[in-house]
Formats: sequence, structure tokens, C-alpha cells
Amino acid sequence: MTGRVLLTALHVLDHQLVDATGVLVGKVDDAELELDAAGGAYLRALLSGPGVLATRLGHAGYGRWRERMEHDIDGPEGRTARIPIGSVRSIETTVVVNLLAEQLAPYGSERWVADHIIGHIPGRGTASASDDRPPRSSTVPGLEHEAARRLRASSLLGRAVNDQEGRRTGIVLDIRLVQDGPMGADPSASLRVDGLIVGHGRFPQRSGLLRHKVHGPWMLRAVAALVGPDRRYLRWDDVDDPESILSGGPVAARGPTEDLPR
Amino acid sequence: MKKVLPIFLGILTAIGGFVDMGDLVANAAVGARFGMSLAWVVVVGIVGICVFADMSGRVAAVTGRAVFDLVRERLGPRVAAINLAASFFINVLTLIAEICGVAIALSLLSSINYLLLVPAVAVLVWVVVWRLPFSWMEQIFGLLGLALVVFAVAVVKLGPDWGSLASAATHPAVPSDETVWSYAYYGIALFGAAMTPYEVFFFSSGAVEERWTTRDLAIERANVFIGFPLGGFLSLAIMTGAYLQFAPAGIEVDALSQVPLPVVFGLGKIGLSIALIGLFAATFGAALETSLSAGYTLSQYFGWQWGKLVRPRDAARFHLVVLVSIAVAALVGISGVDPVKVTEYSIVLSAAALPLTYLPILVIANDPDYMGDQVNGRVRNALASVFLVVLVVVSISTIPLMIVTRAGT
Repeated sequence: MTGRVLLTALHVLDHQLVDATGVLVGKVDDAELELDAAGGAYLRALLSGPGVLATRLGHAGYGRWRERMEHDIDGPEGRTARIPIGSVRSIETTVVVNLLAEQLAPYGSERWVADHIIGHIPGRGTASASDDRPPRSSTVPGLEHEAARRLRASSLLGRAVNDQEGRRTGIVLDIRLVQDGPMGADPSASLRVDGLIVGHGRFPQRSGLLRHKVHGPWMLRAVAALVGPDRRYLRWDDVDDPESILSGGPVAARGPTEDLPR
Repeated sequence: MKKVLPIFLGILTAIGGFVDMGDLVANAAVGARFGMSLAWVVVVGIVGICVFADMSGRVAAVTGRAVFDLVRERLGPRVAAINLAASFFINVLTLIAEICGVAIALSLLSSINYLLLVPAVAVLVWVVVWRLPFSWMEQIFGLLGLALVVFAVAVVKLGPDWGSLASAATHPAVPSDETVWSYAYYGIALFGAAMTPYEVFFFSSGAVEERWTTRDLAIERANVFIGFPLGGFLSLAIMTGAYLQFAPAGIEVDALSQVPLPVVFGLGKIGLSIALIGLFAATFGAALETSLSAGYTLSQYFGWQWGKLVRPRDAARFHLVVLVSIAVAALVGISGVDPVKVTEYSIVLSAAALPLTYLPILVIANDPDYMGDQVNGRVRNALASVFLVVLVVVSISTIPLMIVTRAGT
């Protein structure tokens, strides 16, 4: 069965996160990929929180420290920056999760500001049930120390790609995911990495302008095609030695690239 | 309240955008200095902001997402952060000017030094943001702002030679005592004053606060195509009044207190008091727009809960940003900076920063994943593409022109 197709950078990263009750929690700041023993890759979790964003923006030292600190202060059952894919209800233009805002890392500062500043100003709104902190669910795993077989989507995006002869052909522009099973059910059947979109020019890819179903505006599509003319598709099966990607090496192709799937 | 003619969001946005502190002074100054030779820029600005606001309003109605929410999705976190920093800075600059503007309008009524009124104005702005429901805010300040129509009445009363006015406006030329550079610089200032980013942040976020849906697209169009041209019309009336009043005497306009003078000569004391009410409402409306926009942009970049449609406690960070922005703006205002200069810088910088906000909205308005069958048609896209080119050209030439003309002096 061929399921729904999602492009990680275009459809998932930086989209709005909404909790189970409709509260805006934060943005999808990053996503976590995992390699299985057979070399297949899957989207395992969405990441969101100030530390994750700092890491993504290139402040890795501060980001890692901040992530660890949030984790240590809140404890293993506290607010988590890692949302397992099994807790994701839907990914449309917004990403809805089956958790409560209170359980998630980006909500920590909201709670602090509400308790210490806004809560002291008259007219803030009467306290309601949602002000009582819900019991933190122990089914949500905290931010674990990243296992050796995990990789952040942002660290794969922009990675150099070499062809069979070792010549550089471009960078990873996006990660194409195929949803083999229903969302939120068996996590192992959820979002499989099908391949990488490879080429130059991250703006044209990120704009989504060059997809077939987008028809305009003509001028912008022309500019995008000019800046990113050579986009090709590298199937994940044709990636040589996926393990080396985990250690930060370039993506090496062992097969030819194909035309982009429609 | 029944939705009789729910176009006050558009009217308030446009009045806050077109006849706020920045435009009031820029329009009057340009009218006095360049006559009607830059009136065409205002018309271009009206069309531009209609195209931009219409796209952002449609996207907000169809997807329930406001502008800065989408900026990060399409620009990525890094470029969006640069845009955020620029937009936020311009927002606070404008807020300083508006708070001073409200204080000046009140000081013209009360003869108290405006600096003494700045703290009270800041508190008042914050109380309105904190307590007043969004639709009340729209209606009160939108309606009061309509008092500025008195400028158009005054122009008619002053009895200009309509034929020569029209020909001056339709045959623009650089006045003989001005350089082409300062003409271009003031052109950009007028254009930037018409197309300020905060108008679009406020309008699209307001559409979400009003819970517009695809069924409200007719209301959205009415808001855009009545509200913004009305705002533009008022700013042209102010420019014409200043031209008729000041140009023959060779007077330069550099303070808000000079702006209502054409009304005094045309309509006397009653006219003046109506004009001052209008000035108060327009600058106060713009102060609300910019302070809320500060909260909207930052919250939407980080994905925080925002808006007046939830209890303040549930959008704590949003309200903290608004509160801090107002406090900072008031402190800078009290320090005695020249609000007119602050205004001029903010509108010129607006023009420079605009493409980074405009581009993602144009892209999203064409994306069927978001818009379904409501994607832009050919006419919208053709117009929008023309304006994208205009915006990029303006954006690139702004800073060099600012240096060449030493900010228009």
C-alpha cells in the first residue's frame, strides 16, 4: 500500500503544534529519525522546545545545555521536548498531538509567566480547571540521551550528497516520508523515509513552488526554477551505508538518482 | 452585536495604517513641500496594500492562520528570525511615535506638555489591550477615526482650483527647488507609510480573532476594498489641505500640531475639535495595532498561544510581550526623542523590510494544501507579482537613498 506522502522540511518542520484541547503549544522545532537494523529509516518523534530551536539555529552548545537543563529540572516525568510519533494525532497545516500543553517543553515558559507575572494582574480571567496542573503522564518519555541510531532531521537537511564516483552532486533539500499505516497506531508502521530530494537551492524547495499542483505565480515559479534547477530524487534504498550518516558523514549514493516522484 | 456591516476591522486597520502619526506628518509635510506631485504614490500604495491585505485576509479566513505564523513555515527559522527582528524593531519604533502622537493630540486639547501625558497614554493603551473585547476596540476607534473626514470637508471649503489640482496630481514632476533624490526619498516614505507590515500583521491576526472562515470571504473583501481606500482617501485629503494651506506661504510641516491647521482655516473651531478627535482616534488606533502586532509577531514565530480571544492568563507570554513593548515605547517617548523623526525612520525601514513578509504570503496564497480551491487566480497573481517587483526595488533602494539625501533634509 502506498500511503500519504509528506516532505519533512515543507510539511512538518516549523508548523504549529496544537495540543489535544486546541491550545497552541509551540512549533515543530525539529524531528527525530531512527535507523533500524536493516538500514531503513523512520520518523520517530517530533521535537519542540527552546533548546531544540537553539540547536537548530546553530547554537548547538547552548541548545544541548538548555535541553539537558530543562530535562533535569522537570525530571524524567516532566515536560518533554520529544513527542513520539505515536502521540501525534494528525499532520495537516497544523500538527495536532494527543498530549496536553502542560506536558510539553515549550509550555514551560508560558506557565512561568502566567504564574509569576500575568497571574498577578487583575482581570487576567478567572481561574478555571485548566489552571490545575494535570497529572503528568508517565507514558510520555522524557528527553532521553540520544541513542546512537538517532538523527535529527535538521542535521540531515543540507548535508552534502556524493554520487557513486564520490563526486558531490548537491545537498539534501528535503526528506520524503511515506505513511504506510494509520497515524497514531502502530508506530513502526508510521512514517518511513522513502528517499531524499537532492539538489541546490533550499529556498525553491522550501517554498513548495515547484510542485506540480502549484500553478502560480508564474514569475516566482520561474525564479525558483532558476535558483534550484537540478533537483533529483535519491531513494533511501540507494543510500550507501546509512550508518555513516549517523556519524555526520556525507550521504553517498550507490545507485543513480531519479526524476522527482510526482 | 449583530453583524450589520462588520467592516470595522478594515477601517481601523486602514486608519491606523494610513493616517497614523507617520502618515499624518509625512502626508502634510509632502503636501507642503512637493504639492500634489507625489499623490500618485499614495494611490499606488493603496492598490499595493489592498493586494497584500486581501491575500493575508483570505489566507487567514481559509486556514485560520495569521501572517507571522506562516512566515516561519516558508522562510525557515533563520530567515524568519531576521524578519522577526526587523519587524519587531519597526513595530516598537512606530509604537513610540504613536504614543507620543496620542499625547500630542491630547496636549493640543488640554495645553499640558505632551511629555507629561505620555505615561497616562501608555497606561490607557495597555488597559484597552488588556480589557476591551476585540470587536469593541475595532468599532470604537474605527468610528472615531472617521472624524478625519473633516479634512476632506475642509479641502472642499477652502475652495481650491480643482482643475489645476487634478492636473498637478496627474502630471507629476519634481519641483524645481527639489532634487530628484529627495523626491524619490519622500516617495518611498509615502509608499512605506501606506504599506506598513504591522497593518497586515494586525489585519490577518484580527481576522483570526474574529474567527473568520471561508464563508466570511465576502466580509473580508468588503473590509479590504472599503477600509483601505477610505484610509488612502483621508491621507490624500490631508496632503491636499497641507498643499493649499502651506505651500503658497512656503511653510514646512514638521510637527503634528501643524497638521490640523487647514481644518481651522476651512471650518473654524468646531472643525478643529472634530479633527483633534480624529487625530486622537487614529494615533490611538495605531498604538493598539502596533502594540498588539508586537505580541502577534513574536508569539506566532514561536508558536505560543496568542490573541485576545482567550483569557489573558492563557496567553500569558503574548500579553507580557505587549506589556513590555508599551513600557519600553513609553520610556523612550518620555526621553524626549523627536516623534516625527522616529516616525520617518520607521516608515522608511518598513519599506525595506516588507518583501520578507510579502513573499511567504504570496506563496501560501498559491498553495492548494492550504487554500484548496481558494488559491489566487490569474488577476490576483499578476497584480501581486508586479507589486513584488516594486517592493524589492523599493527595498533595495531605501537605505542608499536615506544616506544620499541624509534622510530627506
